[in-house]
Amino acid sequence: MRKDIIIDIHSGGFVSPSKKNEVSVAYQIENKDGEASRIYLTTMIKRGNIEDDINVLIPYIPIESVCMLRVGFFDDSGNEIHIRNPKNNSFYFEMQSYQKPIVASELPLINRDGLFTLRYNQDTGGMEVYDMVGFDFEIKESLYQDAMLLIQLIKGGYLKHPSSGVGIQNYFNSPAKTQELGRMMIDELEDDGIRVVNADIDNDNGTLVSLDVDEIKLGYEEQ
Amino acid sequence: MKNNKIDNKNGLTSTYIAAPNQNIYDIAVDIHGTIDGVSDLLVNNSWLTLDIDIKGGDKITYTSGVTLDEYEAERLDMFGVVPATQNRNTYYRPKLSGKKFDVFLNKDVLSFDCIIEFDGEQEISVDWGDNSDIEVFKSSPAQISHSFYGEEGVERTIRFYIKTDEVINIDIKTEDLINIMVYNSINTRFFSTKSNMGDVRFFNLLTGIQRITASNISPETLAPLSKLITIQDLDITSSKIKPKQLDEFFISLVKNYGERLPATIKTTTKPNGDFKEPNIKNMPQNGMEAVWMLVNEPAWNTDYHQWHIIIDGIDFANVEEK
Repeated sequence: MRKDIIIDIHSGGFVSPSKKNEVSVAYQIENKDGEASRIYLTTMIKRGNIEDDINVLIPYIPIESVCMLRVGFFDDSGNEIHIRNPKNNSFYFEMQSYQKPIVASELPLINRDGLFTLRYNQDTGGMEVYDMVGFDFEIKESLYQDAMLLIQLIKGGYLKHPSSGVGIQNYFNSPAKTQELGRMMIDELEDDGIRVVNADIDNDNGTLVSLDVDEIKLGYEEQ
Repeated sequence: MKNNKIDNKNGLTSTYIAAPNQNIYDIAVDIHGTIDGVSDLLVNNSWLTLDIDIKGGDKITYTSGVTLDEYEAERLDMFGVVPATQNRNTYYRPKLSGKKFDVFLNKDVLSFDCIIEFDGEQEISVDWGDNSDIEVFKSSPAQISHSFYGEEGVERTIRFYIKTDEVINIDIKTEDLINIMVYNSINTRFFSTKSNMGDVRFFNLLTGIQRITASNISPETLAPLSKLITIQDLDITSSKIKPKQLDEFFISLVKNYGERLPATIKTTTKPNGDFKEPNIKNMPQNGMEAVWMLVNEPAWNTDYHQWHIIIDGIDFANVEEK
């Protein structure tokens, strides 16, 4: 079964994996013992293990100060326990990007909506900040994607295989050419090892309503 | 039938007539069936480079009789296809310093306009977030405008890079913004926007801000504006502001007064309550009691500097208590 990185057929952008992990919210708190040049945040997670990734929502904080985060959880008795930083025994973890401190106002540069995955760095004792939503690709079965790409591709557009492509845009609003479009789709997809089981083309405007395909050969690189 | 290849009849070379929107790779594919043909084009045409803009009608020489991928080249001729994929700038962006703020535009917005004024030497670079090059502005006032082409119905993000910490004034003309996010403090005196955006938190990173005109905002809260201790003139004459939001704003202003000079604040919405001295001294219970304190507190008003709270055209500095 052919697999590939999944992209959005229309925009060409990557599709990020859907994450259903729990997200905790971090709030700004006052820390009278802390340094005035830093801001202090706190968040509560479900488990008390600092080795696991933490998904956290941090709203936009328009302050140019380094963030210190306190991570807590409730024990079986309902008591609030704060996790100590193994590096320095402090209750706080410096938030970092590429092992350097990051200021609160720059956090949206990593994720505009404030959704972050935090990962403890045992070398620096800080929390590395990653984009929770878009930091990985999704690899899935790509037969349908391959077929759709070929159908959208205009001949001459993909320089590796310049004579490939159906170019369905050229058939929009050309109901008289629907038969030609169907034949072209079958030929082009077959060249790539894809059999068209069913393709529903709107006769009024030449657009593709639905597509059902099947693989007829293993592998889809050059045969 | 394609007629873009002409035999030079010298037994060695032929001439290719370029079509509009072709780049060197398109031409290599059309002649040789593969982009490997680029080297043949570079050898035969000393003026050609990989990123040169080729215009429709340009004549390009190539070696006759040697086709690297005959199958593809013949199929392109058979289908009558002339590859033309344009020169694109999507992938390369120079690394710029001074990342300051982003403007997020609504999906339907097709153009953006703003004016940035500054003294002295300044360099403002704008990444339009589309397929166009980064634009650099060096003279004041910088008329920064752009039309978006290509894909419609996508949210646009425009990123501003400002090199020095010189004072700038920003006037954003485009109305349909979602939001502005400032990442590093900007030395600003005047900021104007006609947009109906709901988030005003970014104002806290406009250091030294003295004048704000935001006459169409629909904020969730006005509290961030009460922390701007340098403000002297604030125009929030937006009909979308609710009395409760103004209560919160004026009470927060009184409670966090700090070291600041009196300012002029204009609004069309009236805060809740009556314009009178608070029953408990220095503890306003609603917006209008806070307004009374601002315009009447002797420590906050002098002969030279006086608070002017103008609500729907009435300056409460000149209004007697009911």
